[in-house]
Amino acid sequence: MQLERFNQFFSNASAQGVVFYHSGRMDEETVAAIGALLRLRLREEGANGVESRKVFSTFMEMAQNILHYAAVHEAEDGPVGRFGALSVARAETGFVVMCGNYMPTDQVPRVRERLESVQGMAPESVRLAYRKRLASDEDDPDSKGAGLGLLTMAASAKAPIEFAFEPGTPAEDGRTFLFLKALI
Amino acid sequence: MDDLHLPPTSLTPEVAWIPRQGLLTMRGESYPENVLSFYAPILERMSSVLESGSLTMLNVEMHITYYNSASAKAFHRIFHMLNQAAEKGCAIKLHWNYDEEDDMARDLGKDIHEDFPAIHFVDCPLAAA
Repeated sequence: MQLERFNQFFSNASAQGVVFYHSGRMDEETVAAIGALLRLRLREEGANGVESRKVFSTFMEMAQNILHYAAVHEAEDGPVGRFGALSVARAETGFVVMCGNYMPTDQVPRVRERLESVQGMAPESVRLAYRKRLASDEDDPDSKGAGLGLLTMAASAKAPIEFAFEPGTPAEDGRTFLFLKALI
Repeated sequence: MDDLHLPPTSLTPEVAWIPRQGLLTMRGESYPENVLSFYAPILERMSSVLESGSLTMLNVEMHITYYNSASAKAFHRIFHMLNQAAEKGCAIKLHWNYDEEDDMARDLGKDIHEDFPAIHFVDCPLAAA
């Protein structure tokens, strides 16, 4: 990367209010390290206690999603693992927490359905759905977090969680890029 | 012999299960990658004592400053098991400590209180440091 390019990258990030950005292979160690750094950054940014907790919690649920559900990258010459990007940026009213990762395309309909159903819920319904999930005995075989992760994000956010799917290139490689955005 | 002591890590809480003294303490943060593999051995250790019916009283001290959603599920399981023991006559008291501005922890405490009425629930909001 040319110095000038780096300068552009850095200026763009600052202009967008980015306070934290990480992209790469995710594992438990990475999550612990970036979590500690994020807390430090939020303190430096003067986030209040409530804001800071909600940003951290949302960020961690997104990180956990990548750890559990991102498509596993198995290129012969590249590193193996689950990859994702996470960012926290200043918004006019609070913070925006975003993530992006590849996921298996065959799971898109199920994930879309779940995201849409939570998007349509009023705050009281989010709370009720959370309680129901928390108390449900049977484990959802498709969801290691019982869907609680998404409901936890929705409960912290000021607006419905936004999402987008971008088919991978080439489209037939079986992966789709998923973006999530939460306004805290 | 039945005791269990786990020191805190950056991702898991300190856990102390001392049935002889009727004590269960969990303090710290909880967001391991695999929540089940952390909590399953704790649940197993507790269930063997609780099922024997030898425990007559238990004081639970909870102060988890951050937990992820999968950990909330694990706590619910633990209190489900304790509620069953309480229904069978074990006197169980739960001190639910949380930082007063932590709405998530306050609400989770409310859920646990309502879902497990046999446990004597003590709400303990702590003033922000």
